[in-house]
Amino acid sequence: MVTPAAYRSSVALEATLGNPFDPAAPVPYRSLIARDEREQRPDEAFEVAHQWGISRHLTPTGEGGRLTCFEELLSLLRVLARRDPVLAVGHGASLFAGLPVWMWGTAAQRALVAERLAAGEFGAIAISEDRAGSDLLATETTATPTRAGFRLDGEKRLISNATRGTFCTVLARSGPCLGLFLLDKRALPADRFRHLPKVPTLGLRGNDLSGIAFDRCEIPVSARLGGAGRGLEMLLTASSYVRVLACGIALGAADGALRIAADWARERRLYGQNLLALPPVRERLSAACLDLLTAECVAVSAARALTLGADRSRLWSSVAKYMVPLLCERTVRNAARVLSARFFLREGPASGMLQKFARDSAVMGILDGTSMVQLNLIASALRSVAAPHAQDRGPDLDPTSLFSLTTPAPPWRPRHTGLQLRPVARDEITQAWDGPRLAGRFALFDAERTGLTRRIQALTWTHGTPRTAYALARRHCLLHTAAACRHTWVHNRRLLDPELATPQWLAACWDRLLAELGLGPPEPAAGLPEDDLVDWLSRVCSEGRWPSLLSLPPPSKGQHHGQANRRGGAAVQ
Amino acid sequence: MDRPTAAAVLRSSDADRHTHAAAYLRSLLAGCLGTAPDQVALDQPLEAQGFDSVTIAGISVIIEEDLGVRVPIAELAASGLGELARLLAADVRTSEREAGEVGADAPVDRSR
Ligand SMILES: Cc1cc2nc3c(=O)[nH]c(=O)nc-3n(C[C@H](O)[C@H](O)[C@H](O)COP(=O)(O)OP(=O)(O)OC[C@H]3O[C@@H](n4cnc5c(N)ncnc54)[C@H](O)[C@@H]3O)c2cc1C
Repeated sequence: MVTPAAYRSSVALEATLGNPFDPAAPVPYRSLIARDEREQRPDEAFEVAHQWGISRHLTPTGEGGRLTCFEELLSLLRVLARRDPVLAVGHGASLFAGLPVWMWGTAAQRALVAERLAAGEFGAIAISEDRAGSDLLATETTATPTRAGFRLDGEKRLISNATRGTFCTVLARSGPCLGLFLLDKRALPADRFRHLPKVPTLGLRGNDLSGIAFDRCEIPVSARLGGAGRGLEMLLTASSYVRVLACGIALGAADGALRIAADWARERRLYGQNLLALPPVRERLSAACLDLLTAECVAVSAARALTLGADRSRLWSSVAKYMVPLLCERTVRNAARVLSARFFLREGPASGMLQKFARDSAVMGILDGTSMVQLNLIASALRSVAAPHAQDRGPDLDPTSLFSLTTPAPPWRPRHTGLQLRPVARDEITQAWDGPRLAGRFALFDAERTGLTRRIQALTWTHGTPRTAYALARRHCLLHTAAACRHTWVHNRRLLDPELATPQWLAACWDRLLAELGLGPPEPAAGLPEDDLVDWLSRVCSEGRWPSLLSLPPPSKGQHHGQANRRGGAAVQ
Repeated sequence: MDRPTAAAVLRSSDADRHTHAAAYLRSLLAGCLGTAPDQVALDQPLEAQGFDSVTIAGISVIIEEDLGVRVPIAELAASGLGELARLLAADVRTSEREAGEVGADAPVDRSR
């Protein structure tokens, strides 16, 4: 089995967390559920991840950490999320708070964040306000210039890590522009800010979700991050990274749900045989599995694109943030159907963890820009991609480099990132694609691609984003997803388990996407015998592995501390 | 005319500044949309023309890089482009004006 370099740390982290189904493991589902029931933060689990060294993966190499590869970080967040999405959201919030600091912060600001993360502390990203959700220009919190620096006034609410975070990146109005400010909460005047009460939520109950109110809170001039009044620009650039990484959380919740369902289907006996023998159950499992693998193709390529095609990431990260939570939620729903009543119970298989995954994953289409906001951004980006007049489109990006998982993506150089707000001129994922034909399936996507370009070009943009543009953006997402599955399959066939290396697997993924497009797959319907996929799923899960394209080896002893050297392409385990 | 040329013309001429500013904006927006400059409408604000926040933020950055003028995103989103052209015509320093000014390297900050 070949493990690309970017995934070795995930294998090690998984080993450290232990078998989630074993109550004696370092981080078992049973204790996570118990915490969730009491709406408490899973502190012990956070501590295990800290001891393993997760914070180093949130900190770039130049600042003493190990973060160079977003594909690796995506996978690590996925590993955390399939244990408990609260763990991934907690670290994800620290990461979001840190990203603008790594990219535009001063040496002192970067050192502060690096030091706090290394000590196992957390950061918060304070953007949202009660009257400013998706509409960031409506931000009311102000940072008024004073002699010594700035005076903060206002309330930030619905902020993860708001209370425990020892540093906080805040978006505030500074004159008519918005600025970003890095607060060292330990250095703030204690009587000039307060934490708001924890917000009760449907899912992610252990997440430290509350808010911070500032009342004439003086902060030094050194708190300002990056260029004066360029807060929104920095935030929008950082958002591309965050959207992709948020996909890791959705994938993790889907992993967990699917594995619980597959295990249950093997265990549960009905009519004298196990559940796996029932065709409708097999159908649910295969649908869940296909959705998960499809989501993975989109997310992984989007993560690689962050350093390979950063100028396209505006489009590709929004497509990923739209599609991956959607597919993963569907995986969780199908998994829930397999568990039937046991899904509804807060006990039983995996201690009732599946209902927690269902509750927790429901937020993934809302966090870091809602699904509809993504469609808006995609529609707008497609306008320039579909434009007939060639602008300076720059050099082509070869999809091989984006999708070939044995070739590491270039390392991230945060200080050289710059603002990434230029219009997207090219979309090689959907354009550089011609086959395989798969019995007429490709022809349907090809016709869709041509039709979409024509329809986008024909839109009239005189009263904001036209309603049809959202529908076209959604169709583009489905087309992109089909292309991502194709590229992944073409460029990694050698790495895949035999069941996934067959063209029938690709055909089966495509058929689900064609159905979403309202296009019936040509006869014969999906090539991959459902049985093969479900048998694969069942085998992978029974070996203690997680269902994934790169079905990594099961954790074994000795990998706990083994943060393998990440240079080089791939290692044979 | 491409955008850098239009920016250079606006920076270098004292006459017809509004026309030059409008030509610059047309060429900037045409670049964003992938259309020809003469197809760009100047009678509507960017928001109404369906430009999203990321693109508008990008436009603000490009204007500052090209002309040294900082236009706040909120203003850029909501102002008519004709009005914006007037604003740029007034604020952009020409080389002649620059030569006579102290601290001419700093951007003109419309946000203050
Ligand atoms: C568990 C949790 C954790 C969170 N953590 C943080 C955090 O750490 N930091 C932080 O700052 N915030 C955080 N948030 C807030 C979150 O980012 C916002 O809830 C989210 O941005 C959406 O804002 P809103 O709920 O106010 O929706 P609104 O902005 O009120 O939107 C309402 C509806 O209008 C649609 N809509 C709005 N604008 C557009 C558009 N341009 N195009 C199309 N449709 C549109 C939306 O899709 C939505 O359906 C968190 C929220 C939750 C639930």
